[in-house]
Amino acid sequence: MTPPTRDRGSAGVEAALAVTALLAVAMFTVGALRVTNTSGDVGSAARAGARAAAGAREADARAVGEAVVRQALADRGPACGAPSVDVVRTDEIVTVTVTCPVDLDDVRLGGFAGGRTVTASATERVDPLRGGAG
Amino acid sequence: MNTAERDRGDVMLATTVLVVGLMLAAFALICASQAWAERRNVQGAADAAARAAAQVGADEVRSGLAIDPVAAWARAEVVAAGAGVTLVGVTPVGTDGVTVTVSGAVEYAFPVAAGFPSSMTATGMAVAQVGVVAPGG
Repeated sequence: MTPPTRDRGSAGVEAALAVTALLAVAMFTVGALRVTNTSGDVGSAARAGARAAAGAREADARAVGEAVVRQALADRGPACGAPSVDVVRTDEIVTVTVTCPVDLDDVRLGGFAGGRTVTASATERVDPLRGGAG
Repeated sequence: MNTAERDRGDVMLATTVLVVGLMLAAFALICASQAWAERRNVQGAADAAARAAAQVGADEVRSGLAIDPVAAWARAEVVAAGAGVTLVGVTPVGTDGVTVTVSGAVEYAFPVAAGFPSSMTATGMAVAQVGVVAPGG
């Protein structure tokens, strides 16, 4: 067998492997950046929710904080589709925790088969004038 | 040995080196963006702590809206502890302003790439004034 015959087809196989590997790297990058970006959005929404809840009356704090978080995430696009919001208020502070599953189905090849969940929380001091128990 | 035999395997080797290099570069980019995001979170905690420090109590209002440094520290510390950061300093600015500094650990969502420190500390600083409500970060 001559060398050209032995090598026949190798380039195609190598190209297929290389393209697959490059696609995986690209998908990992896209997925990881989406996770990081969503994490920033969730953190920002949690801070907005905490500020709103801290200025609301005690009875309304949960509803106000949750509404602000959901609106903030809705304004930032579809990456966080179904967030869960937890508002915990004590006499002094209010803490808003937001958990969000990130949609990564389209970048599974990058190593995100199980999906990812990002969580962020923010704490704000209860406004003693506006956020009373009344 | 002819040219074809000499070159056999070179493309695969070059591709492997390229892909590994790209993976490391992508990983470094991700780690850096996470560090930036975490620093923003620490800055958000500093903003909240500064707002808390500037929320004067009744005694401070009676004394002419002057911030009591001890009370301001206590207010900021509660918020810092709730946010999981460490209160580093509370410095009055004039009589009705305060500068708050906090520090917090940077946590990575993915394993750390080569060349990056396994743990990092970020510092956030914010200024707040009595009666001024800022939107914050």
